[in-house]
Amino acid sequence: MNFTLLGILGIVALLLLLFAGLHMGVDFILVGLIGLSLLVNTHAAMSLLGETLYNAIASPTFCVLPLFILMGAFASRGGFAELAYANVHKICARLPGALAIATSFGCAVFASICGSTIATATIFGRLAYPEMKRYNYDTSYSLGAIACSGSFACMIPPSGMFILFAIFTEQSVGKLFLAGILPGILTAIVYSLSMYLRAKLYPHLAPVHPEEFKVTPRDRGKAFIGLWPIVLLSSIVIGGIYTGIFTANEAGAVGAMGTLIFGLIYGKLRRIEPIRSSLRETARTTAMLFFIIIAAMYFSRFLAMTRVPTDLATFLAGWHVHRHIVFACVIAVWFLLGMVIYQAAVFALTLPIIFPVLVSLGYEPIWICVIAMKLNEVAGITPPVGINAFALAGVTDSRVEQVFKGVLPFILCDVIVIIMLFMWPQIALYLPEHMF
Amino acid sequence: MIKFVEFINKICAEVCGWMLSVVMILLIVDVVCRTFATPVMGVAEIAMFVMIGTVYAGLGNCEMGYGHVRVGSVVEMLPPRYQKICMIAIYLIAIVTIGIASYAMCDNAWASFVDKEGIAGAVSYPLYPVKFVMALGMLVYTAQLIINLYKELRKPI
Repeated sequence: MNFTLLGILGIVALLLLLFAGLHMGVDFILVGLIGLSLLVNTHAAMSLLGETLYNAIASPTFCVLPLFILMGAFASRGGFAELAYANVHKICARLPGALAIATSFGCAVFASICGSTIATATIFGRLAYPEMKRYNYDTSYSLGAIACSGSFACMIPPSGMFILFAIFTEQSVGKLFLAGILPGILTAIVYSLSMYLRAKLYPHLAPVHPEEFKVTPRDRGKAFIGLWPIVLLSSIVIGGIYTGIFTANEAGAVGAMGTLIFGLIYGKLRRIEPIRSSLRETARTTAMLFFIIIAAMYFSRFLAMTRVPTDLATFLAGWHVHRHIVFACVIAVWFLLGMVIYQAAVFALTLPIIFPVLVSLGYEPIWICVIAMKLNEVAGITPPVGINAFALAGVTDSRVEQVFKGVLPFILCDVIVIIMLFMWPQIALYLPEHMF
Repeated sequence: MIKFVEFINKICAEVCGWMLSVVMILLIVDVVCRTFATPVMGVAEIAMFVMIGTVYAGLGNCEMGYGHVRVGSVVEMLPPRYQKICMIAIYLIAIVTIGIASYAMCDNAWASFVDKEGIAGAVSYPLYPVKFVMALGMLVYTAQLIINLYKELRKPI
């Protein structure tokens, strides 16, 4: 049988089974196994499967993912979100849309120690939404602000998704972490500007509450200083990687230990149950993510044998259009797939094929990952399966349609940030290029 | 039987979590010791083994909470009766696939034991214990898939 045809049939079968509801990891293994059995023989396919189940993750560098997941799990239960939100709200008091802006920067601060977007969105949903209701903020405005701000966690380090990217694209975790800092801050600023302008133009969306006039400059100063535990932890983790004092693994271990210690000091982690549930959550999330990675690697071995990625790369390299048009097509594919498939799965499915093509077109690998991460943020909040939107609707007892309505203006903000990243790639590349 | 498998899954996830915190401590000890020019040998390999163990021992627990990634939106559009048929078919496919993968892993673990396979490094470790943990994790995952199929069959339309 024609190898390329078999590869294409494999991709079609993979997508059909995926939309029929088969687990993503199982889908990759099944199609890879059948494909390799047809290409080589059943014995070789089985043997390669047994080897891949071990070799795909048998590298000490992969330990970085569970350690940062553990750090995020401790941070979620350790009271850091409350700390970030309360202090940032005091700093922003009296501004139009102060609570929404506090949510945006509070999420950005919290994201510097928690790499999970769902955790960030749900925690801030519980924290910020009741306050916004008390201040008579518009429901969609509030929900949109929380859902979109929750998506920062995947851009601002330590980001679980960047670790996944590092695994799939063989880039340095440390460089990817650093590349996410400025685009993450830029997104927070653009979101906050949008919240401010909308609140200024339409005051009924976010009325200023009398309580905010009681905040003095001294209170603001105290609130700024009150953020020190989070600033300290994130500085140790990111600073350690940036200066080369720690490896990414060690930074994850130090960060997890730091969040545990601060959680113990603040009292939220003094009982054993939150610690046990953090550990169980880490094991569950690690298993889920790594199973997709392992299975995707097995599938990509089948795909590599069919020469589909090489043929695609050759075709695109010979396609007489500007490389930005190719990239725009890739963005469209990521955007559309991100609307219906869990983000990690989208990249597991596409990166092994698309990433080498984009690199061969002359794009900087780290920059590609940052752009992909921006789309990952958007995918988390857009219908029909924006996972953050659903999680937020669940914790705030709201209708998901209200969340989707609220996120629309922020998608425009994301488009602006993406355009800025295209125009000035140094926003993403400056810090990694100056890493020690 | 169902309670036994689910109990094993819960225990596995928790033990893996605690092992991960041991790794966290070991890595910090290594950083501190390295500062005084006395690094702890073999920590990276132990961390890797624990991470692999965490992944495979956590698979069943993840399936127990229906946590594995799948696209449910298309199936949910079908009438309830067809949804049920589709889910049963999907679970059967998953059981066969993961069953085959478990067999491949058991075979690989046995070969590793027979060959006394190990990894070279500052400290040399045998590979077969971690591979048997992986095989066991895959078998428990298969068992949990069978339990979920059973639950799906018993679920009223």
